Amino acid sequence: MSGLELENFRHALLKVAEANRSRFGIGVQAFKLHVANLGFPDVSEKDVRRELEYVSEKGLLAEAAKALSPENQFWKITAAGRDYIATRES
Amino acid sequence: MSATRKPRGDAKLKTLPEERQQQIDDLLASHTLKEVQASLAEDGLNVSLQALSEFWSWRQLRAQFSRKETLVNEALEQLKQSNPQLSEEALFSHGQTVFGLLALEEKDSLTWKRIQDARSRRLKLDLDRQRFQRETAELFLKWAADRRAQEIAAAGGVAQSEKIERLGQLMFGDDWDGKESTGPTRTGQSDAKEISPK
Repeated sequence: MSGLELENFRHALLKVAEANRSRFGIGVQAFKLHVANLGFPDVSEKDVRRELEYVSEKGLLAEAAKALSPENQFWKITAAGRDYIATRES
Repeated sequence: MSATRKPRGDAKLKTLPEERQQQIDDLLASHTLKEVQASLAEDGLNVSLQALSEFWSWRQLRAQFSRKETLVNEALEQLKQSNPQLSEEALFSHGQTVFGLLALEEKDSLTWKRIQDARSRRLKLDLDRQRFQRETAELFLKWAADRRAQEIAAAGGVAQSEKIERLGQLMFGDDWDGKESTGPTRTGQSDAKEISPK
């Protein structure tokens, strides 16, 4: 992915997370599924996980409380993530 | 990540009051993107088709997550009743697991898409029906004064079906196919040639 594509891909991940107003987080596979509908149909699960971790490190996503299986990770958008989207889209 | 890129087109829509967003959502459910774009432009809201499309995707996804959370909450409520000893933390973990699985299910959106497709078909039928009715009224005005048509209509002792057959041949000539059924839901009717009594 080029720099701009990567930027748009991360934005798409945040957009999916932002659409989720529930108290629960979303897993890697669900992110992969939904970013496909936002113009990224061919990304691998590995790519999705890597970028989720990057965006999390930036404080825009946070890991939700873990499910029963500890290997499953779920992410939710943070307040900073919402601010980021609002700023980028305004 | 840069926060100073160009504004996204769907931003104006997402920042509208929820009620207005819902109205646009409803419009999108029964009209084409172009029709909604034109309608919004009349209200002074100029957005691209791409922005509308993205806005709709976002609304759908939001609604989808919301419905899934409702399902999970209902399930957790039942679980809590049958297992009152479960802690809130354990319940949340169960909920998270189920929500995580439901978020993977696309059936919701496929069902939704089918509903939208059905709405679009119904809308097309409505428009076809309106056009058919208008064209029928126009044809009536054109032919009501025609002597041959009047004679056919007034002929005594002739069955209704025969009158229809004769009138059809008079009005449509070689294009007339009396074997086909006619009625307000026959969408092909609107393709009838522009004809006038000679």
